[in-house]
Amino acid sequence: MSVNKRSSRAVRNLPVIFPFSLSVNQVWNNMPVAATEFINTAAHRFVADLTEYTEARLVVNRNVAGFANAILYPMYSIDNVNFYSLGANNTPSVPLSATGVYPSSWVPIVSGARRDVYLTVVGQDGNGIADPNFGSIYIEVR
Amino acid sequence: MIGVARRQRALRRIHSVIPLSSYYVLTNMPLNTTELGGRTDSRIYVDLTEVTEVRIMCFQSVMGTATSFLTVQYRTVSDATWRALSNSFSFFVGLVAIGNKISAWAPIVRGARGDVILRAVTAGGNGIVDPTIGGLALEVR
Repeated sequence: MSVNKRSSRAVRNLPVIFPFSLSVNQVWNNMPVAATEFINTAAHRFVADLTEYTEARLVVNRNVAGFANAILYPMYSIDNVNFYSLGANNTPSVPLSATGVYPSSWVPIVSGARRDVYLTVVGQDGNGIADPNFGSIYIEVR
Repeated sequence: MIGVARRQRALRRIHSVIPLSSYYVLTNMPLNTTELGGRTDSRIYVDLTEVTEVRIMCFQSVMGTATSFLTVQYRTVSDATWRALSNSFSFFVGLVAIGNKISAWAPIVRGARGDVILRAVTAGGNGIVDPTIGGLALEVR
């Protein structure tokens, strides 16, 4: 009986967060229309084992809004070369049309990402003019 | 046998770490309660539904004043009021001396057990000294 209690307590869904960037005042000058790695750099890529996770959401702290249609979303890779959307159809995504800390919806992690993967965050649908500004960005999984 | 292995794996996952900030210089840290550096960049949105206890950790590389400290507050999406994440008097880290800092484990208030926004706040500075921290995180269980 005590083992059951202990094991049921242990499998609680505690938050699991993979920080992408925890810097302040990160400006993406002239955020482009085309899908582009966050602030045009691969410097924030990291590796995580997603084997036992089924859902993910992206959380973005937006200091300054971007173009009305602009979004950020996470991508994964198994070779650090070819990247694919972590959820279906460029999800989970966060709109950059407003300010404030914003969580995307929880979405299923695609089956191909449920292993040791490289992760990054990509932006698209800027207008090449607007300069969104960011605080902390991270991926929460469960 | 498989059941035992799964249970052991589960037992290893009873803690989790929520990062709040990387390197941060608290320029002219004020006396009054102030969000980290006076900015909102480090706010975190996270699901604490199944969390019961928390503690704060960071590394301090530049000293603060004798009375300076850091703690963590929460608010919900529907309520804009920031509240203490724990009512425990020991839920803070002092920012007096350099080194690794860790608070005691403290129970979180019931109102924070859900999807909440977290922020770190400081108080007790003198408006002159610039304590500097890194690796600020909240460990939960």
